[in-house]
Amino acid sequence: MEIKITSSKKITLNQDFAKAWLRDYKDFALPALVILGCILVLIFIVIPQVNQFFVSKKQLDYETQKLSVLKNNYNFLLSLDENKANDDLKVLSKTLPAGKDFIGILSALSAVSSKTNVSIGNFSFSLGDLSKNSQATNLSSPIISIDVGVNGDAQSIIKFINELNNTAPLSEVTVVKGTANANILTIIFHYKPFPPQNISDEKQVPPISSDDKAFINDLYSWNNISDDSSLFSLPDVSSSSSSAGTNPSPF
Amino acid sequence: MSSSEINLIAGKTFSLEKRIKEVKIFRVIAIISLVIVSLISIILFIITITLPISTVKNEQEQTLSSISVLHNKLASYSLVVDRVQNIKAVISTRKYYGKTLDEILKNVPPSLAVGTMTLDAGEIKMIVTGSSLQDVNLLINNLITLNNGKKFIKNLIINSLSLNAQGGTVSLSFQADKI
Repeated sequence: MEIKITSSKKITLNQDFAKAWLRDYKDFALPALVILGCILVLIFIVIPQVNQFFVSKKQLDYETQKLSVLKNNYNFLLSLDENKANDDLKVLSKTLPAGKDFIGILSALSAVSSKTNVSIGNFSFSLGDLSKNSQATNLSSPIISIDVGVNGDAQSIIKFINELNNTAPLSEVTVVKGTANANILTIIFHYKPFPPQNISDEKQVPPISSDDKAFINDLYSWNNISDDSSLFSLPDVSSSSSSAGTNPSPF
Repeated sequence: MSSSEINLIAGKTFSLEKRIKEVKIFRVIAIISLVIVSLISIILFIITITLPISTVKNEQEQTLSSISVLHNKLASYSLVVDRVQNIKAVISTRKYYGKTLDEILKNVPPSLAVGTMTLDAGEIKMIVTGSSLQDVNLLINNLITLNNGKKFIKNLIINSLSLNAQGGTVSLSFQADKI
């Protein structure tokens, strides 16, 4: 049997229809509002809160790491022997002076010549352009070049060159020109201004390796180290103002 | 079909029960959502406000003030590190001519004398004189061995071997590159 239902009335969205719809679905209204509210709270409060939590967690991790570095630095500095550090700095500054240490150079040549029985004749300094603060080499370490006339046999000259390698200030024989007993050596002496002190407490202070410690201890045995005739005194580390460029004093 | 066979009430009851069940499920979902969202929100709030960032920052400030007392030590130490790095950099590129010359001279027989010796930009030039051709030959052999050893010199070139018949002297001029 086929039932055909037809309606002659047209359904329109008028007030009566809305009332009827609300009456039919009023039981769903409150839970629906609650669920909608929950979704809104989730979107506008909970998700930003989760993001905020991760941001805070990241910040906490960063601050904790920073604190750890600071504590490590503090412990390291606390255990550092200040006298030893100052002595090391004196020796190192003698080896690589902060400026043109002519007295150090002359005393080095004198010390080596007397040790190797080589007599020094005439010598001439080559300073380059004095208007510039430094004469940069490929090492970016400025140099003073000096031509020295030395008299002695070949073995003495070699001994002189070898001894100069273990003499402060740091030097290098670059040219040897000579005959049997008269030679001219071109020697370059290195120096380097102290860097500007941009010490950050928040950076990890790298401890000196055992190799570096051995290296520093080895420098104590170099020629011309114990002599206090250096032209350049050590920087005053008690003041903390910084200066850039090639000033011998970094403070 | 008679009208008594049509049961409209049974259908209506079934529909009502279904509606009540749907409303119930809907309410339960709403309550669960509310509870979950509230719990998450409260827990996150508590966790976020209890993160000890301020405590860590206070500790940082205390440590920084402690470090500031040790600033002189830090300055000295950083200069020591700087000097060590620079000195090692210079030493690592330094040419040790002394060792090379020493090694060459060790191979010069005692009867021969070094007349001229030039060392510049890694190139060694020497003129050796003597009276014995045998010793000059020995020197050449020694230099060849030294050159083949590739420890001190390379690119050995014998520039000249001359004999002064009047003076009875032999002169050897050679050059090599320092390794």
